[in-house]
Amino acid sequence: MIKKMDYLEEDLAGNFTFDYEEPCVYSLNSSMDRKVLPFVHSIICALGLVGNSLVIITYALYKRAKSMTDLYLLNVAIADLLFVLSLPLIIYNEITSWSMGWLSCKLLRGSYSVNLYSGMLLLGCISIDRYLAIVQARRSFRLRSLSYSRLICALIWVFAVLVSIPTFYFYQRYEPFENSTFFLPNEEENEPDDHHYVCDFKHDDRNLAPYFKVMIPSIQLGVGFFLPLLIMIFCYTSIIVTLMKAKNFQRHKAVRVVLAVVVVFVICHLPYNISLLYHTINMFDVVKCQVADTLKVTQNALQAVAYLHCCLNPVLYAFVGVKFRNHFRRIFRDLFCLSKKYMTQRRFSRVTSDMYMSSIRRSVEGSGDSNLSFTM
Amino acid sequence: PACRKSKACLAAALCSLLFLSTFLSSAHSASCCLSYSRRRPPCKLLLGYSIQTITGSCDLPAVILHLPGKFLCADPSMRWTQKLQLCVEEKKKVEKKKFSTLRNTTSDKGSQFLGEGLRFEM
Repeated sequence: MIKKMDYLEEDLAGNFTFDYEEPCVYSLNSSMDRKVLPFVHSIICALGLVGNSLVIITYALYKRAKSMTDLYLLNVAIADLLFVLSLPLIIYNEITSWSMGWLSCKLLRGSYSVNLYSGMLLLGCISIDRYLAIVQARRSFRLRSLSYSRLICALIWVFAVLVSIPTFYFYQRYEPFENSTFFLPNEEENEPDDHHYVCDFKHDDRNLAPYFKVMIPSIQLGVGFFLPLLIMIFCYTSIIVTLMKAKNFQRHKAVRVVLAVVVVFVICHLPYNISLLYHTINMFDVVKCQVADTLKVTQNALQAVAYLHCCLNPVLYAFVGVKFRNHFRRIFRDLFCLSKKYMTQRRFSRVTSDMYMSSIRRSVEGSGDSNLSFTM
Repeated sequence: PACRKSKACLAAALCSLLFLSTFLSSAHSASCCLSYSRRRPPCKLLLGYSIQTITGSCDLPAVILHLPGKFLCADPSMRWTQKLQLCVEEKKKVEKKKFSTLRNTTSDKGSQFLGEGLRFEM
């Protein structure tokens, strides 16, 4: 008996190591999952929470969504906030082997998907809105009405839910090797106390599973990246062409903002989506564990970069606008006043300063180009 | 005041977030066979096998052979893999017989270890 075991050990560890393949444990990726990504994700989460809730608070308290752009910006902030909120819950559940149950698996993966799609499509809509305002300025009055934009926003959310239905349906909480294990020795001793669940794709039809498996990332690539990218490229190039024709100091600043929006979008999302495309194309291929591990690490790092985009959206879209910044300053001023008021109970001075500020604001708003939401 | 309260709330939220994500971090991803062994292990060393399908999180169909302290990935379409599977089934039948007879003769826990010892000697 000992002889046989020795033979095996020698055989497995010695000359023929490369001929034996073991299940891949992704050692590099799991150590990165443990050591680096929690910090990165919590930073993203914190920044996203602060930025997007400031946008939402500003709209809720100080600025009624008046134009189409306002409504889109508000919806992007809501989508990004929900996305950022679902992130720690997903991480928590992945760590605790989905202790919050099967419904949390479906809901979290689904809402993640809905917010991803709605966020990306809304960015495309913002570019269309700006295209209409600048390039098609004469025809844009009716198209950019508030009731019309409410309808578009509602349609986008409905569409995002529809596109996420495969994720809702196919993602399940299950034990990876639940019934396939086929141990020779004492089967009755299978202790089921160590349940390890994952929340991942599962479909029991062996012939259809590969198609559905490819379908989910394909939709994500198509609807969640390439569609908004193409819309943005078309809209923003025509905007830049139009702006270049008009010789105006402020317009050049606007061009810079447009370029920043596009460049940041591409930098954040293109690398991750390329890695996702590569993964999808080579999904069913045989691959060495080390290579797969490196690819997974790369993909996770690029995914974190893509997540970072929802922290940058408030800066790129909302805070770049002069009007928005003024409203935002008012929040801080009022908070300051409120605390001051608490200490010195003088109401009169507050009323006058408030009136003074609102008159300044009105003059600022009046002087700016009301169509350009992104003038600096 | 309201502003101090909201600041405190924000700080608390951030701290709990950091705490959550650093403390409870030992995410384990399911391990999958990604490629196949070229050499076949001898049947006498096999303890059992499990089947990896593409219906779950893994993307490659494979037979995972259980050896003492090792798991090996095998191509399910190869003849030798199928032979090894059959071999395990055979051993299982024999084992069951031996196991049940051993159980009947000695009822204490020692018999189980004896049974396991027998497994290697086959």
